[in-house]
Amino acid sequence: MIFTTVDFALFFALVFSLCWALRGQVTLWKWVMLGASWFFYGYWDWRFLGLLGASSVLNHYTAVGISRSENAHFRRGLLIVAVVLNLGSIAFFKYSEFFFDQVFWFGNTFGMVSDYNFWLDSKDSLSLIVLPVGISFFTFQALSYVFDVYRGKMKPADTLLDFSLYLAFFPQLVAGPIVRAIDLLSQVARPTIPQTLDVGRATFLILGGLFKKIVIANFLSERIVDPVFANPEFYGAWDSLFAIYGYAIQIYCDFSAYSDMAIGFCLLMGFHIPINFDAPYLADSIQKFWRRWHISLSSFLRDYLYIPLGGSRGKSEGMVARNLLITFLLGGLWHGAGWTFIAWGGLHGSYLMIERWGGKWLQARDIQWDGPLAAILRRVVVWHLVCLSWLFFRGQSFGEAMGMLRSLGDWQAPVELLSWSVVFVLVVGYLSQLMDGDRCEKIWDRFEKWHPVKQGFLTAVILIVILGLGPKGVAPFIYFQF
Amino acid sequence: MSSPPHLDIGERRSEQGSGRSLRSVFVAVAVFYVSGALLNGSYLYEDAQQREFGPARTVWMKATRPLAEISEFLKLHVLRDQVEKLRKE
Repeated sequence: MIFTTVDFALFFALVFSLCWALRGQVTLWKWVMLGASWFFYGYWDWRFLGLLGASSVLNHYTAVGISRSENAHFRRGLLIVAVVLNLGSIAFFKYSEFFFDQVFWFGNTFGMVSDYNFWLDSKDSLSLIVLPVGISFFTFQALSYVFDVYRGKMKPADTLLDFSLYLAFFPQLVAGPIVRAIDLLSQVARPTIPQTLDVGRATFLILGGLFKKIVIANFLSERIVDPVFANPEFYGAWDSLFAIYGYAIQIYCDFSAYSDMAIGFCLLMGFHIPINFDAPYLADSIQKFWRRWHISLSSFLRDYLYIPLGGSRGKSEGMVARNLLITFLLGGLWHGAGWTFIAWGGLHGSYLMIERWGGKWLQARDIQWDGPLAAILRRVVVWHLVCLSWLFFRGQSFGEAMGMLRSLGDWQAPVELLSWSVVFVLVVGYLSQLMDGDRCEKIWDRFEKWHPVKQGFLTAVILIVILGLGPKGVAPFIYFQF
Repeated sequence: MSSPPHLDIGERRSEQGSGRSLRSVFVAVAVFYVSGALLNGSYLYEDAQQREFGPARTVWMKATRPLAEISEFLKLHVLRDQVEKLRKE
């Protein structure tokens, strides 16, 4: 069920009503919310409800076992079991075919493949494995729970019901944010009846998300990004350059829209979850970019991978470089089973290493790169480095990415797709970052002062305008594929 | 990578008491749904007709047809029609 559909609107109307009608009867409330979340997930594909259920049972009882045992080896053993089973499930559903392709390529290259039919039949079988939607998100959430219990940062949930509800809670189940148990579990386990609901912020986030997804992301995708990326050899440099810019804005608007709407729906149900984007393309360094882009994933990788590896406190710069590369290569792999995703991650890891060494070099020579012009230049450089990396993220293969780069060489070719409307939407999309964080708090507060009838009616009018401006049909969110 | 500050705007605003009462929010949400359904009635019916043939489609069409008729009678579909015309231009 996609947020931008009538089906979801009806679903949410019912769940919102039940959420508040049953809030005083906590146990019944939990069962109903869990049922609603499972219905939401099952609407995609009912076959994967078993996976969600199994993940809930495995991770909760592992955490309980860890918290009850005083034997360090046993606790560590349980942790390893949880990590292996969680990552194993992602590996099976997401990476089986990719791994198989690499083994086949290796064997074929070195003449070790004798029975091609066996390989082809096996590949056909593997291609039948369907990726459960949201598996990368809820598995990481479950892992954060087990890790935090192991580290003593939190106690396990009181009941399996509490943990299951946290894990399956529908607003953030299929495409994040990756909300840690420490942030959400206690809220759903002990739901309160608040005096007020942050309706101003919720409405702004939901409408803003719909605008970013329906108007900006879908428009850029249809008008310039998809056509150029599909056949870069047919287009010249101007079309290709703006297709790359277009994709950068498209993926930001698409993904941040989902996160914003998830936060908005949670707010309407009386829960708050952390933001996932904070104007990433306004960053003036790659390090700052990663503190603003997909914050829930980058902080997960930082806390559960980078820092345990040694982080930036490595014994040598070589160790720090190793830690950065491992973290970002795995971060790239998380997004998808493909060398292009790994390359994307590797590129960002390399950027961070170069930025770190460059910063130290400048510092050693007391060279400063300050001032307003430097601030603009830094942002332009970071923007283009990030756009370059998106080529590999978007491309189905290195050939496709290289094809786009080659087309950037032809500045004499006629402009086919680039138009003032594309430029306008690109600029609006770039500026939509200003909706992130609490930059528009005054607007939220002003909206909240209005009479509720005016609030409801105006929201409906804005929704109709957004729907009218967007193309027909329902485009899925990009991050569903992860 | 050093630790970024934990940005929890929701917690801060909750502590400040930002927001409106539950009753007020319920009224706003109800008005939103009714207004949205009427302003979008014709398109909801059109959307129902595009669904796969089956009982679900029949139910959606039966539910959205009165909305479409009211919307057309009161000329409430004009807003979206005009916006779509603007988009096509």
